Amino acid sequence: MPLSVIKSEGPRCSRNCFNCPICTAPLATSSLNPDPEKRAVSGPWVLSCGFCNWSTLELGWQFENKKNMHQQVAKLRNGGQSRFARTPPTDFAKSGGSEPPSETETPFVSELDDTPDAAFASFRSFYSSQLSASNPADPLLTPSGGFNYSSPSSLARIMSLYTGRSFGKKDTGKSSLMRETSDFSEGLRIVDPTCDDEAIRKLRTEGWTRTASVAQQAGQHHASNFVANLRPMPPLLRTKRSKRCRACRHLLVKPEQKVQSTRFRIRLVALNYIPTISFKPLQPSPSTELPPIDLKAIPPLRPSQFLLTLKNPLFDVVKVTLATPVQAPGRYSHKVTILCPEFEIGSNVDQWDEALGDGKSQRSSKFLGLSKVEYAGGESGRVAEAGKVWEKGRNWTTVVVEVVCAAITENESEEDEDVLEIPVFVRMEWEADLEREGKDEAKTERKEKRELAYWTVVGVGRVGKLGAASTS
Amino acid sequence: MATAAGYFDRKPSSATRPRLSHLQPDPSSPHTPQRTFSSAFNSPSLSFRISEEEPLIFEFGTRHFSAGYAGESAPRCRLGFGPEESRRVGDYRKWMPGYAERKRKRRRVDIWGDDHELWRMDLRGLDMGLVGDKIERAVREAVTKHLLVDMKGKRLVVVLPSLMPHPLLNTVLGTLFTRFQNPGITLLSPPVLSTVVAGLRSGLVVDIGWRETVVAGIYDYREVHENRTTRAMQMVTLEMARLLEKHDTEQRKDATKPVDAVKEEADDTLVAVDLEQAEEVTTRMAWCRSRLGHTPTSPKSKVLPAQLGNASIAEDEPTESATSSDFNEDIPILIPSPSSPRVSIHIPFSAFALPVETALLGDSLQRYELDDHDQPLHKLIYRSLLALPPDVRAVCMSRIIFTGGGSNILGLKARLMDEVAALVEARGWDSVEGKAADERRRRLKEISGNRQLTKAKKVETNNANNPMNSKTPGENIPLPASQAPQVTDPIEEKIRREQEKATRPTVSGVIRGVETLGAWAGASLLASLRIKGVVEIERDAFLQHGLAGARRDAEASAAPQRGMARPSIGGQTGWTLGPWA
Repeated sequence: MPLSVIKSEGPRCSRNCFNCPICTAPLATSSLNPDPEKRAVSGPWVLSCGFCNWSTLELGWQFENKKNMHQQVAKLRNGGQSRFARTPPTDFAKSGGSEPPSETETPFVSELDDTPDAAFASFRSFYSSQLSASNPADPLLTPSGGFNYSSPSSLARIMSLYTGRSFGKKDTGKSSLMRETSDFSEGLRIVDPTCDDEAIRKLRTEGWTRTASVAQQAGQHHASNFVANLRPMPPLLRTKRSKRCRACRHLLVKPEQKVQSTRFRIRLVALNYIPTISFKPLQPSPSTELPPIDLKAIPPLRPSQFLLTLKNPLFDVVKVTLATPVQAPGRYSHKVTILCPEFEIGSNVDQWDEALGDGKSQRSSKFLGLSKVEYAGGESGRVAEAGKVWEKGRNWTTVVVEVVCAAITENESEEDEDVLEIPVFVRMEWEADLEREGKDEAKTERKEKRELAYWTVVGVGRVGKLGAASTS
Repeated sequence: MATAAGYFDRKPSSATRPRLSHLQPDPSSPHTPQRTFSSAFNSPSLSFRISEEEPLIFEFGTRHFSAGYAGESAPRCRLGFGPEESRRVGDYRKWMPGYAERKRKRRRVDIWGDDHELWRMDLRGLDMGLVGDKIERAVREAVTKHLLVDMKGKRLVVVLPSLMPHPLLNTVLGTLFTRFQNPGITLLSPPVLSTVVAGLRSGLVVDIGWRETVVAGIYDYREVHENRTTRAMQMVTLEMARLLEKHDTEQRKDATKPVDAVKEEADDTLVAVDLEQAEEVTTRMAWCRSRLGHTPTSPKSKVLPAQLGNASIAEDEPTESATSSDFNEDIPILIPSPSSPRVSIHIPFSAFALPVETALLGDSLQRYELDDHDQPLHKLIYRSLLALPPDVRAVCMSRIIFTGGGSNILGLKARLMDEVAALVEARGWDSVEGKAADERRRRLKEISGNRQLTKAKKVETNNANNPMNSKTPGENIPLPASQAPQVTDPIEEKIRREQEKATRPTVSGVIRGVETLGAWAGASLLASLRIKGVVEIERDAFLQHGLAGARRDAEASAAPQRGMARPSIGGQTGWTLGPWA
């Protein structure tokens, strides 16, 4: 879709698609032809919703043509509610009395004009005519001899009056002042004190079900109170977008041009550069009497231990420093301690390299599964120690995090207030191998020290209620 | 030599003259449309070169963010700042079964609905970083989903309330400049825009917003006066929530535990109904009764002078007996219960008018109970009009512009105008009120009545005393100058007549409301007409100095300062914050 079309039509479908104004389901075009055999080919056509049985008949709309529905609907928009005679439901919205009685135009025309769009258009034409009228001197003939910078300088000057900066040159005194709009055709709409009565009466008789909900109104171009005034809207278009870095506008993601293709030409995903973090509970050993940690109800006021595993996607050994606030932010301050905040993660070299190499690491990353339950002081009798890595693999390292949850006392809590989330500041340092990245101009073993630091949040689970925990 | 001189003489006549003459407007003929110059013809020294592309229009409010293209009558999208909008990606709990029936936390009244707002004007405890992030998120969504443009290189026109704390303004501008690479931002203030897009030069803009209602007097596109009150939609919605809760607990008492019900009644400072629910009901059902004792056909419209012609209010609009008593007859309306959407509760139709009336009009309150910051709307409008100079007042009172979310409440505009008219009728334009003032007014009336009586007597006695002079009493008794008839000045009359020929008669001196399309549409209109704003902030200048880089000198006076008005060359020198300073 070309940009100009998007500008004029908006990023909405400009062909035949419409969404139901009531339930947002796509509308189908169906025929009203009494002859069932002809229904497939000839109209009159309507748009109807398969879910809520709404159809454009409620607006009094029928279409002669099956094609190009968008333009047909757009035409109807200009014609107020409908070009088919129907008791107009917009009567209340129109400031009936403000129609100029002396004007020669038929009431039908002024009724057509009574949309915000029409008012806007008439304002626009009014102001542009006033701007040229109030600035009658030819731009080439300003007293100063030069250009008069811009044609609408007059309104700019007037606009500037209220804050004290004027733009025009010296021609300000001569031009006549802009006047205000004086009648309906110029866009003036007087509040009619009686115009709401009709709507109030309607509200009273029709009640809740005939009024449009907030969501339904939000879908409309111009909000209206009653269901009867809702128009079908063309759906928003889906787009393939390239994304840029917010700081330096470097292209990060760029999809392929072809419409059908779902692949990317450029795809720099952060996941390929920063360690993957996984988190699982370190269950207390079965020998102790402590109940196992349930992530849906983490016992409060008691230290629970978790295993934090970082897996390295890079081909270099990375030194990681973790930090976390002593108390997790939020209404309840849960105490968090990372027992071993500084450690190294091995490089993500090929498995064959590992197999052919010294084979120091005991476990292959294939078994880095979160499904396996680990117990503190289990088979090997290990207990988490401060300053010591819990476990280490080829390109991953696990450390222990100890959390003491605060007690949630209130019965009524905010939504998601009992969720335990730990903010973690990750700082990684590594020596990038420039040779591997193809920047080997010098052909020497050049290494560059790199550093990356970021905040991330680890979602753990929900904190249990104090009472519930004690009873179980 | 002669040939050279002739050449130079000839050149302007041959090349320039014809072009000029055809451009020159002939005074007798209809006005020729002006030739528009492309920007290539414009002076390059112009600091704010208008880019060929039209700017994007953003409007920030407390609750909503609207964005769209210049030259359109309505924004392309209007996004909220509620908790639903700030969910994480993939959080679909809203659609889970049973979500609507979840137990809601009862919130304290004073913080009710705070999490639906983008900012508070009270900066204590306001997280600026969060405000910035919310803005970024909303703008990103608008741009990538509804506008589909690259923000880079696009100028922005931002509609912001002009009374705004500097840290907040800094956050808004900083977010827009640093996270989106736009070259410049123009700030515009909502009341002026509302006036422009009502087609007026002056008016009294009543912006019934979320936190505050702002009544601003605009005269010739200048803000001349401003008043505000906390009676606004937040209060209406809160009242609606209370109403819902009351009816809900009453009608579902058997369903809920009796203990609960007792507790809820005891607590007046807690509200269980969510803002979304209350807002839904408010937008759908809220209405406002017309003034008691008045039929909706306002008597005011009949008082209007007939000379208004085209612009006059409907005089012979057929209004079929839509009396207020008609509305008072209660019909129970079925609405879904706030505590569980599958059950319906009955609320009488008239009850839906109560929140509006208690919150905005303060019906039940006495004058002495009201503080300066929570004046009812009609009194605030009256006060604002009172504070204006009389000629401005005359113009503004017949151009009352209602805008903001609250202006959509059915019947509210008519009610407010009626109330103001009644106030004017009762009190005139007298700023003193109260019992003592009434007493004084009564006495003055008595005195003047007495004086007239005595004067009449005096004349009589005079006439009786000198019957000789009774033929020409006027010569003898000099009238006080204040009562003498105006001496007609033929020249002035002529000037007047000439003036009236040129200008159309303006409506003034009657209470009248004018519809507006809203501040966003105003900004869009101005931007599409290529009108430059006063507050134009360039990206580089802002990023270099921040708000401190703004020139301070322009803030003091609203009068035009011609001397320094030159557009700066190259955009090096100052930009002003104007009314935002």
